[in-house]
Formats: sequence, C-alpha cells, structure tokens
Amino acid sequence: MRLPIAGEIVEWDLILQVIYVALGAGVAVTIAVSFAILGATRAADARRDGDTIDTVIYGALFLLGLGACLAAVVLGIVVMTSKD
Amino acid sequence: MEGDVILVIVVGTALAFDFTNGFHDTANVVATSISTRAMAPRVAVGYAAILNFVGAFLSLAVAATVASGIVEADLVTPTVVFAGLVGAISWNLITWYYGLPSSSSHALIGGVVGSAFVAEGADAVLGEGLLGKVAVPALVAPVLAFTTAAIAILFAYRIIGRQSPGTVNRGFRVGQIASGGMLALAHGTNDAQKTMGVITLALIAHGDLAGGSDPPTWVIVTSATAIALGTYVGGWRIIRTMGSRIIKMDTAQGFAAQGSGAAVILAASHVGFPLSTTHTISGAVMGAGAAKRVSAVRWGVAGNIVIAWVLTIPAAAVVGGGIYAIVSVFGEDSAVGPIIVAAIGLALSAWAFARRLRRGPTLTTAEA
Repeated sequence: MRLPIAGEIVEWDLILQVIYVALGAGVAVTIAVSFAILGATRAADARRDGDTIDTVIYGALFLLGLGACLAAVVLGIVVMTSKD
Repeated sequence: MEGDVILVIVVGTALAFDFTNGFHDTANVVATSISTRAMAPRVAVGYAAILNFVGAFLSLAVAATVASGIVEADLVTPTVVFAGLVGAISWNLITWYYGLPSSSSHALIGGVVGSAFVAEGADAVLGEGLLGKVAVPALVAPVLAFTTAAIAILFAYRIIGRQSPGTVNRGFRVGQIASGGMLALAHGTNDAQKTMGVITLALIAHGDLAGGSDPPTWVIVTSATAIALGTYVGGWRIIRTMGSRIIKMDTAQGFAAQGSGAAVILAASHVGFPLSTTHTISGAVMGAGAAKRVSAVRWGVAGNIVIAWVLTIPAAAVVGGGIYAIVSVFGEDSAVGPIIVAAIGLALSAWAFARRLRRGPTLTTAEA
C-alpha cells in the first residue's frame, strides 16, 4: 500500500490493521455478549412457559454467544503473547 | 562510578513515573465497572491492580518502540534519559496540579525527545518514529475507540432492546467483569511497557545492553510491580470520592466502552504503538454515551483531549530540554546534576501532592 507524502513515514498498514482488528473485536464481542444475554433471557421465559423447543433454541443461543465471547478473549490474549 | 549512580537514579525515577502512571489512571480503568455496580470498589481496584501486573508481561513491542524507535539510542546518554523523565514528571505534575488535560505517555515521549534534542541536536530524534509510531496513532486511537464503542452499543441496544432491564443489567454486569479485566490488562501492557522502554534505553546508553535489545526480566518485573502498586494505591482515593464525579452510564454502555477501549489498546500494543490509554478510554466512553444521546456527552472533554494531544508532547519536550540544560551544567557524566535535580524534584512533588490532596482528586475520564 502506498499513500502520498506520509506513506513511507506513517505505517499505514499497521494502523489499518489496528483499526480493523479493534473495530471487529470490539463490536463482535459486544454482539456476542448481547446475544448471550438475549438467549439467557428468552430461555428463562420459555422454560417458565414450558416451551421446551424455545428453551433449547435460546439456550443454544446463550451458549453460542458466551462461547464466542470467551473465544475472542482467549484469541486476543494468545495473539498478544505471540511474536510476529 | 558516576555513570552507575546516574543509572540508578534513572531507574528509580522511571519506576516512580510508572507508579504515578498507575496511580493517575486507576479512575479511568475502574470507574466504569464501579459506576454500573458491576464490581464493588475494593474488588474492582484489586482486580485492576492484579491485571495491570499481568498485562505488563503480555508483550514487548511498545517497549521496543520507546527504546529504539523514537530517539537514536546510540547518541543518548543516561543523563539524557534522566532529563527526559524529569521533564515528563514535571509536566505531569504541573498539569495535574492545575487540573489541565494531559497524557503521561505523551509527556514521557516528549520529555525524552526534548532532552535528546538539546543534548545531541536533531540527529538524535527519529522524526519518522515520532510521527509514524506516536503522533498518528495518538490521533487515531481515541477516534477509533469512540467509533467502535458507538457501533457496538447500537448493536447491543438493537439485540437486547425489548428484554427486561433487570436481566439485561445482570448479564452485562457479568460481562463487565471480563471487559473490565481486559481493559486493566490492556492498560498494564501499554503503559508499563513505556517505562520498560525508557529503562532499556538507559541501559543501552550506559553500555549494559546492545542496541535493539529486549528489556531484561528484572526490568519487566519491576515495571509491572510499580504500575500495579500505583493502581492499587490510587484506587483507594477513588473509592473515598465515589459518587461525586463518577460516570453515569448503563451496564450495556459500560461493557461496550470497556470492550472497545481494551480492543483498541491491545491491538495497538501488539504492533508497538505507545498510546495514551486515558485518551483511548475517554474516547470509548464518549462513543458509548453519544450513540445513546449526543447531549449526554460532555463535549468539553473531547476538546480537552484535542488540546492535550496538541500541547503535551511539545510542552514536555521543552521541559525535558530545559532540565537537560540545567543538569548538563554540572557535566554530562557527572552525577551531581541528576542528584540535585532529583532531590529538588522529590521535594516539589511532595509539596504539590500534599497541597493537591487537600483539595481532592481530579477524575480525568470523560463523563457520558
């Protein structure tokens, strides 16, 4: 990648990397936790109503969201502790 | 022998700087978790201190940037590093005393650049590193944190919009234990590494390490300990003043702000950008606030960040250069100058702390 004037001084590739990683991770983790909360809430409601199918579906959504969030945290730490 | 004395003073001064960095930034790291009641104040402060310590061991990329990417390590002496550190601490104290916005990270870099410039001229300053690794990332980080938090909270509200607030709050409070921990980890890794970089630079200048070396283990451990202790000690002041100037935000905003701030700082740390963690966290808090209601954000804080961004590096450079000019009067290799300046600095710091503590602390995080 080559941008005029500051292209060789400023490491635009690294800055772009920071932008898309931070934007992706920050938004993705928040979405994952939101879905986990949504899943937990709806699963509890469905269990109270005796709706087994919805309980399973929303329970799975909760586990999926939680798993995605934990995976993102672990991945972040692994990437941080590894050298390029 | 005199060189050894100067090196000891430099290491002591750098660790003192690290301690004050943790002390100063505790509010930014724990305030969101405490204000949303995700964690009890005592737990939040202890948790942040532990993760600050752990975070310091995660990466060395920022330390490498500070040690070899901003000033020419071969031209720098321990006296130059000392003057830069004192310049940074002096500028931090001046801004802290008068309640002006500042960044410890930018002050440190500005101080070292200023003293190196006065000592060895423009050749000692790596302009490309200063612009490419410090100035531009410093501008990008708060904007990126703001944008990330704003987008994240919009998605969160969209997903959990119709659920009962009680359940949602409980869920995000649990999430904040993780996001708050990541933020403390990110703060520890970026800020402690700046001190590691400065001590490494002094060790290279003293001839103990080859240029481009990584920080020795004792430097990593002492830097991690200093910032963790600073965070812990600083936290007790925050606990005592809780409820007066704390951020008002809901748990979803708290989670989005902490997660986004941590993501920006960790990503930048991985590629070696020494950021202002305060500015980044403030940007994230404002983004999470603005996405819900633009008027909820105190936009004056954003203006202060811009002023601090423009002012801190040049001002700390002037102070660092001035300190070097004073110290070098006693001779470049003489320990007399650093001893005198360190003694005066300690006395002035104690006086300033005593006066300022009587007035109460200043919380620097943006309020949303």
